[in-house]
Amino acid sequence: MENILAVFNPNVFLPLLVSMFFGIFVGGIPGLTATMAVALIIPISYYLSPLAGLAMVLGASFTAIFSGDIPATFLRIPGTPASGAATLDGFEMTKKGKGSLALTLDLFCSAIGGTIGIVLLIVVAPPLANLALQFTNYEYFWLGLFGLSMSVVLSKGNVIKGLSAAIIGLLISTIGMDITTGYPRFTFQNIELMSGIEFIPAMIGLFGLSEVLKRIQGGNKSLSRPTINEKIKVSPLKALRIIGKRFFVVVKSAVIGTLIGALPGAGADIAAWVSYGVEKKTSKHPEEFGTGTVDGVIAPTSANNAALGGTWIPALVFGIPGDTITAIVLGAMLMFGIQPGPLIFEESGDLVTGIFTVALVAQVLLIFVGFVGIKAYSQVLKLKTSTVMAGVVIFSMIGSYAIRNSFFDIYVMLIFGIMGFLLEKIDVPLAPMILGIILGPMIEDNLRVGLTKTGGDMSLFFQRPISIVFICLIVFTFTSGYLFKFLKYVFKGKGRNEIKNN
Amino acid sequence: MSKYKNLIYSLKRLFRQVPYYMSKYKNLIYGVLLIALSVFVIMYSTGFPKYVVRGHELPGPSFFPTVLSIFLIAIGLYEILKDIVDNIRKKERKVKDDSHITKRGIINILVTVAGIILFVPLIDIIGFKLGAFIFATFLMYLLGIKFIRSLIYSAVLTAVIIVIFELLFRIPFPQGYILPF
Repeated sequence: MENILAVFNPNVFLPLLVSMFFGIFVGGIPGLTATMAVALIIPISYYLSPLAGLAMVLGASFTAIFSGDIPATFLRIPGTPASGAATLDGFEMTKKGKGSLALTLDLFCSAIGGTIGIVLLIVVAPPLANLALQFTNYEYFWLGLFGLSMSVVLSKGNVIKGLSAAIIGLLISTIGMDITTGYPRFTFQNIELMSGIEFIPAMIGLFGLSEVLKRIQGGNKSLSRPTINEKIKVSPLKALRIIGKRFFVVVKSAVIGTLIGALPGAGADIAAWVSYGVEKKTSKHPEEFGTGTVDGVIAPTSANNAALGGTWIPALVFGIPGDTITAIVLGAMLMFGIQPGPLIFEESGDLVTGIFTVALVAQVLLIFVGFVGIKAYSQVLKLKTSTVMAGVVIFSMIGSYAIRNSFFDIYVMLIFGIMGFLLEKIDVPLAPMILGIILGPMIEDNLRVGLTKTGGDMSLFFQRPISIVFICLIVFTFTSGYLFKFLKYVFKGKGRNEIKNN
Repeated sequence: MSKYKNLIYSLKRLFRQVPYYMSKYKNLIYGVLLIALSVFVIMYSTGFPKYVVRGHELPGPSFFPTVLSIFLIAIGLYEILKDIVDNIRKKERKVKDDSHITKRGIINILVTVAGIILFVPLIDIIGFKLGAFIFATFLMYLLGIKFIRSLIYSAVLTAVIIVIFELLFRIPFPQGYILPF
């Protein structure tokens, strides 16, 4: 009890609150990620007690992930990579004048999802981490493909075009130094390309600049209106009523998010895409996804914050980072003299209890801090579209530059912006491409290492039990739509026309 | 003179029809581009070294791009065939009305893209902050904001950028060699 109450000590509570506002601020700026927010918090946290320092890290990461959804919903520019999936239906809701409702839902789902993630972290940490440890190259290869297949089927447009976008993304990920041999691929003697295409400028270009180009293509008349045509009115009760009716979706997405977060290397971004895909596939109205449906907002936003809890499972129990944020956290823990691993629960039990309590308190605070963030952001969006679009271009350029202080990344952002604009004209979804760039190295490395282990024999990729589960899930992802229609046809006699049409 | 007029008129007419044909054969164009990209990747990958360990050849740097390109060729062929079949059947396509592009819109896009391209060499001369201020003013003015307002908004925007990136996050902005801002 003493450890739980320690969280409300001003020495812990105040740094937590400050870091949460900091997270809201950083996450809402495209190009500045949740990882960056945590990295910037770490130097300050060294001057505090271990619990206060880790409270700051937790607070900043939870709010930054939510805050990334604010520009994603209002402008279709994900503030952080984990907000990519939130652009799909959140932005469509904004177009319908329901942006504030989308963000209120997002905020509550982030808090509920985050709470579920933390509760799961407390309850099932050891067995889950054990399962994750059984993953070898073969399983990671299929996990990567599963994540990619989700993004293909969930995007707007047809599946074949989504598949082509995913493959183009994977091809883009091969640019740069080959990890196994060190050979520079598709670099054309350009030194900047040696380290590959940085995915954040690519993402800013594909989602941000392409949206600006789309808006300015119609001339200046439409640009003289305010950026969002709605009065930003936050209505928590309405949002809670909607969530109440869909609580199962929130719980399901949060559980999926936590499970994916628990797998080392798979963070909040993959969790959000996969849960969106699962929700679309199991929905009674999959055709509504991508048009501004509430479920399309609830699923990814519950999952991305829940995944943060998941990433702490392997970090705390085995000292293996679940994502880049926990990789930094592990470094910070070592600086505080805490050794992550199975013994942490015995040696630093008080601290672990404190961390869990902080994480739960942070979910409650997220709601208040989040509302402030939404309000602040909406003030900016009262400006004319032309002003905001010009600002977005400048921020996109600076956000791209700031990742590694490289002008080259501004050009990367530009190229991807033009590419995104043109691809959308021919109905090619952009989301699978960005996920292809993110997952490309994971898929290729595990495929090649796996093949190297077996001397080029693919059969082992199809033999291990967890691999078979993933293969079944991939097959199910692509065929479930037809399967459900067929089952309806058999059992209810419905959907005959649909089957005939297909 | 009338010859030139006719030629210009014909070219204008042809130019006006470009969006129509682009829209009509968009899948075919996409398919051809996918195949062209894949063929380029496969050809280029043949120059990559082989990965041989103890005399045994293993998947090297060209393996993954080549496999992906083969899939992409298949998709390209599918898109081409689908487009041809659809056009033969004269299947009606959905026309998006929100993607209407105007003359002014084309100017906006071209100037914005050119502005971003020129931004980098410009800041070499006048520095990042002044460059951002000038570019933001120019962009806002282009998109229909009055000049004085553009100046004010851009000054605020630049100040915000300096506070966030330079003062808070210590991200160094490059200075120009003529004007050190």
